[in-house]
Amino acid sequence: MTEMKKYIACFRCGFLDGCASRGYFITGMLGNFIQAVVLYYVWKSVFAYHTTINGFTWQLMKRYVFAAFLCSNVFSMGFEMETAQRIIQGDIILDLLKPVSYRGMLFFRMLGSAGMEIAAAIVLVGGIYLAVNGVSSLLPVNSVLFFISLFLGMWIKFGIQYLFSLLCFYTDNAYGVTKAREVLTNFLSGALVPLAMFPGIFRQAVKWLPFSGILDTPCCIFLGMLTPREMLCRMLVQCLWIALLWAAGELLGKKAFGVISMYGG
Amino acid sequence: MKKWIHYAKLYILYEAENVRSFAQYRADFILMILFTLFSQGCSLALIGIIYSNIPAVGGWTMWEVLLLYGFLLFSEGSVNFFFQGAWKIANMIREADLDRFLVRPVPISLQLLTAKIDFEGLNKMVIASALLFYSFRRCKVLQSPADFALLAVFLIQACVIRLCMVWIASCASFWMENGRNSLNYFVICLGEMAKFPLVIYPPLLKGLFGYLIPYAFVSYYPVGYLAGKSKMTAGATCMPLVCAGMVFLAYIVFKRGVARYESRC
Amino acid sequence: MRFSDVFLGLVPAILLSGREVMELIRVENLQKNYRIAKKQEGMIGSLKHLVFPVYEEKQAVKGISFSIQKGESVAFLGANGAGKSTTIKMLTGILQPSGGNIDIMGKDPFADRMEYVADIGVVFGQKTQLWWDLPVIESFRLLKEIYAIPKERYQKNLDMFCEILGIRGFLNQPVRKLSLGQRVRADLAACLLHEPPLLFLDEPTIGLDVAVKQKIYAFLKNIHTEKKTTLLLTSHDLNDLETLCDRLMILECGKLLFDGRMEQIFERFEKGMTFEQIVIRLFEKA
Repeated sequence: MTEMKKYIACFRCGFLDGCASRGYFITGMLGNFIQAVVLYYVWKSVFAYHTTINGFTWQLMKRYVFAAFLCSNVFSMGFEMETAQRIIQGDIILDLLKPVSYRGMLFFRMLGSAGMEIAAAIVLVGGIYLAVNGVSSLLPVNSVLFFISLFLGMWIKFGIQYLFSLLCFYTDNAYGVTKAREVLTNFLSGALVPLAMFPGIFRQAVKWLPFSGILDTPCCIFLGMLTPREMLCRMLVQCLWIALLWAAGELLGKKAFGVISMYGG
Repeated sequence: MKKWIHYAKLYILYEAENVRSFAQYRADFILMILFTLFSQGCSLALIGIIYSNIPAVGGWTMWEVLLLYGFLLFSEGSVNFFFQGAWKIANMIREADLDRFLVRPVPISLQLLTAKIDFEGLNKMVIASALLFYSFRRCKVLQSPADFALLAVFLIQACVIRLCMVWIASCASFWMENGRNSLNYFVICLGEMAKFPLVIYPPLLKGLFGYLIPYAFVSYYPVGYLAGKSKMTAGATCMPLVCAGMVFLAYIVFKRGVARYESRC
Repeated sequence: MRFSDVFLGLVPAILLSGREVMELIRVENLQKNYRIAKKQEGMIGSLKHLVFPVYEEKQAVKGISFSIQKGESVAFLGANGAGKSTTIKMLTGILQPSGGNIDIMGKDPFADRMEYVADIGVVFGQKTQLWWDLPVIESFRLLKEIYAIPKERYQKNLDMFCEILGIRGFLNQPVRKLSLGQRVRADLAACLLHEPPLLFLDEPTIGLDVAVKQKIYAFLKNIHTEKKTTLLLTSHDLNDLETLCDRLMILECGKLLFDGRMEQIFERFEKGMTFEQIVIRLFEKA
């Protein structure tokens, strides 16, 4: 129980942190919003000439864009830059010496600072979506499963962010690491182009990677594009990846902590 | 005049020292090249995937859209390589690092611009140049030396506009509490819109993100004009005016910002 | 040039030549206010502040006036938060005053910044002004270009500083590899290469061992007597202040509590009290 208390303290810390810097999360969300807008209009102009592409109609695509936007607002700000900063300044030692799991601390802190973001996104996006498409377009079972899948996707995203942040122990270029992670995740999770649009064998391959669980799986569930069997299968794959990423995080984390070189004097 | 020559000399000296200090982190250099290649590869692949499904977006073919991408990437790279300090303004304000600059008889803007160098910028410019070269060949539009001269002029103007955007966005830190400023990130995100021809966007968005934040003049008009698209002449001729306007705005914002500087950490 | 121009140009020179001592710094009713965010505690407070931010004005410097003559060495003393760092930052052109006037060598530090800073030297004890990744000598060379120091003068000063401060041994090391003592000495040398008539020192000896401090005292005394450089020093180390300065200004809560010669402070209190005891008494009172 005391373990949880420590984590709740981290959550609180993150939440206060998140609220203290107002501009920060708003611009983060706006960044994702821009991406969603670009997506919307690109596909709109595309669907003006073709009615269906790879199983998507414009109606489905519109809803995909909304759902994708919501998903990308979960844990959107990674923590590589912060980690790198703490490594350079030596503060990282303080983190590793605390009697709490480093990763647990990070997770709850991120959850805290992302809390506002997620809540705002759900309210905003949900509101606009219902306004545009009406309550009737919501499929109740799918919606519930969507949120569950989204939650699972959040764990996967954190797992991946954690692994990338470990790279900061090896290199100075935290920004490069952040950008690489963002681009890779965006690319392979379907944030910009639904995975169904990928050509040929890539389509199959990409479904098995962890990234698809971050966005594509929840979105497809939400849109009702999958049969119940498929939905269950995909969610199981999500769980599997959570476990795998956790294990990788443990192993690689230990290695990374041993490599800290001290800066400054 | 003598003053400007003195400043130019100082600029070169500062950058030479930057290059020198960078030479000490050689392992990072290779990693960085890999990261950039990787990131850019993913982004380009996305465009490829969209176009594998359809022949044109808003009437622009894939190679023409890649030209837009090239202009954006080149201008971004030039800011990273030649004027990376513009990105660090937010950090420096937060850590009260500006004091150091304020007590030297060198214009603060010059010191800020040269505060850091990022070889990733050089990387990006190289990739962008290759992209531009290859795409122009595919589009078969550049015929005479005059065309090439025009291309150079357009590129330079695009770089100037981009620099002013980042500069102004960074200077917003002077007005923000905590100095945690994601506005630069936001401005770069807006660049995503400029990756596709402006015609696909509704007038309101076009106005906001193409003209108010003048991305239209960074990629759309110069590329459109060179590629021989219709209705581009007005935009292309306005470019120098926009450049001048942005520089002026950047100057004013900076002056006001420095007066607000509180030097607390 | 006509005869009348020459004559008119000479008049002020004739009038001024009678003055032996020059007023270097004149400060009138200097004020500085800061905006502080007012925020309640806890998560609710943070949320509130997010949506309805409230700020209040804090007066850091409440209207102080003084004047400093060329060649003086002045100590600024004050408890943490008394406003002495803020005052120094306004005098060096870093902060814009909220009110009042500053006139140093005929210029306004903030408005005429670039011209003004070419004639001053500043050492921040807690931050270096040298380039972090470069060897010390490279920083010096850059400074030579920035301040346009003629080659002979640069070399002469460099040699002299190396001798007195003992920095020749690590001239080729990057600043990030230096110990604190070495770095502060390098910073001192750097800020005096261009022979400024006015030198500001903000906590220069913080964290330094006794041996290095002696070297620095010797150096600063030399500069003060040989080149008649005006010194403005803030420090928490009372030893610094007693050794280096003949004039003392004490700030408390943004106001000037005492401004006079160092000896005069002893006259105000009981006989036999050390400087340290006097300062403790003063800070406790306020």
